[in-house]
Amino acid sequence: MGLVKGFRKSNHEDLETAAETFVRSVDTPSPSSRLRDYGMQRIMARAEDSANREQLLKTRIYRNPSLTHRIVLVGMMIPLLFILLTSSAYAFSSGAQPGSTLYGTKLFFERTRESLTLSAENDIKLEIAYSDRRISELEKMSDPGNNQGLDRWLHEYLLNIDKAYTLLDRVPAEDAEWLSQLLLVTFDNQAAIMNEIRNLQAAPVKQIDEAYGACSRGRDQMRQRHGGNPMGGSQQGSGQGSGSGSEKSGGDINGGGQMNQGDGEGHMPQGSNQGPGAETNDGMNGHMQNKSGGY
Amino acid sequence: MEALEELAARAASGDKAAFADIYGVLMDSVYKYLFWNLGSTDDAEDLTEEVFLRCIVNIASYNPKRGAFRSWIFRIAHNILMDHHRRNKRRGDEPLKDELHNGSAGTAERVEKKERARALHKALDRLNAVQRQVITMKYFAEMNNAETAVALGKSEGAINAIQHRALHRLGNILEERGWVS
Repeated sequence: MGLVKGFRKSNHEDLETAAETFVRSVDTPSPSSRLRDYGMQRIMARAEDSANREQLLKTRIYRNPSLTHRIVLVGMMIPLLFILLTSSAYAFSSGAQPGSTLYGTKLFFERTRESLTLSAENDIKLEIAYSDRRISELEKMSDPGNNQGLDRWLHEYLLNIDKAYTLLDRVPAEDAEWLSQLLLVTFDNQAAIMNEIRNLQAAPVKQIDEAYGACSRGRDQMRQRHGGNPMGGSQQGSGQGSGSGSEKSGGDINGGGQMNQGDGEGHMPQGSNQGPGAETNDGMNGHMQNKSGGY
Repeated sequence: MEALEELAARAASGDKAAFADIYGVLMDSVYKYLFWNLGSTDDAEDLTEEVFLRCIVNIASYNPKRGAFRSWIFRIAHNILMDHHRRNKRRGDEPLKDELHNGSAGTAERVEKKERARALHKALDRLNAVQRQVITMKYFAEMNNAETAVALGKSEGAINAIQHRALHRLGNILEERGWVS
């Protein structure tokens, strides 16, 4: 038994020794120059890339922003979004006509701007600008069958001129003087345009007539304020009209022949059109001073 | 040449020359270990590069108190090898390429070397994974039992026993094929 064990152990060890000898006798293929000569460089380059990647991963704002980052981002986005939406709404609504869905937005922006105005003087200038805008709207609406929203238009126009007139009492006397002159010129212009529009209508349009009447009354009141005859020509006017504005006129507002060929009386009874340009320019424009040039 | 542990400490502080020395000392051993476990020079070279890349990235985490540097780097190699096997499901058993034996030996000698390598490759393929790793670490990476034990996470006694069983099995296989008698 012992012999068998010894034989087996010996055989076992011999086999292991033989296997070990065989293993040691086998050559391993050499690595290529890619690993032997350039491996180190490649590893260092990859290690630097890896370090850069790690650094990027540490900048976590793009992957998982913290609560503070989120709050800051949202805080920045809300005003930007508000500005974007407001400016878009303003841009889209600026050309809106009475009767369209965006007209209310347009009026909202106008009133917002009015509420932000700090002085009565600027308020008057704004109301004048808005009443001119109403007249432009009316010109675009004057096509036959395009009378949608005229009631609202009339309401807004009357509101504009009424506010402008009312506010005159709140400004200092010297400002009231030139502002009333500005209003007079404005009413003159607007009455002339409205008269032309009225003549183009196949049938009288109640709202335009009403607006024209209000505008004429406002003009007469302005004339009275300056000591002129509400139904007649100005004491200081040229009596003939100049077509290019009087000598003292502001030029921009009054010039261009829009008020040409006045008859010195400056009055045209409603509905008695005497041809283009027959309306107004009664010489009152001569009161205008350059004070209104900034408007 | 400094001890590998000292080189590792210098490399950890950013000394590229120290890391180059480590690479010069250990590249061949790591490559051989991987080659005899993979059977492909291309795979062995790729994984060798991967081992040293992981080594330089993590070298600051090496603690000499927990074992020799050689054991640490072979533990990395072992982990990478396991990952590779998991990815490929089975160990590659490509035939050894002729161009890998391009030494200056004559034709007959070269053919015999190639045949011996092929026989060993096939014999190793029949061992289990742990036996194969012990054999390749001890005989090709020239590691002692203590280093092998740390690298594979086993005791020295276990490594000794595995080595004996592996050599016995290897001897039987080679004997069957007429390579040992």
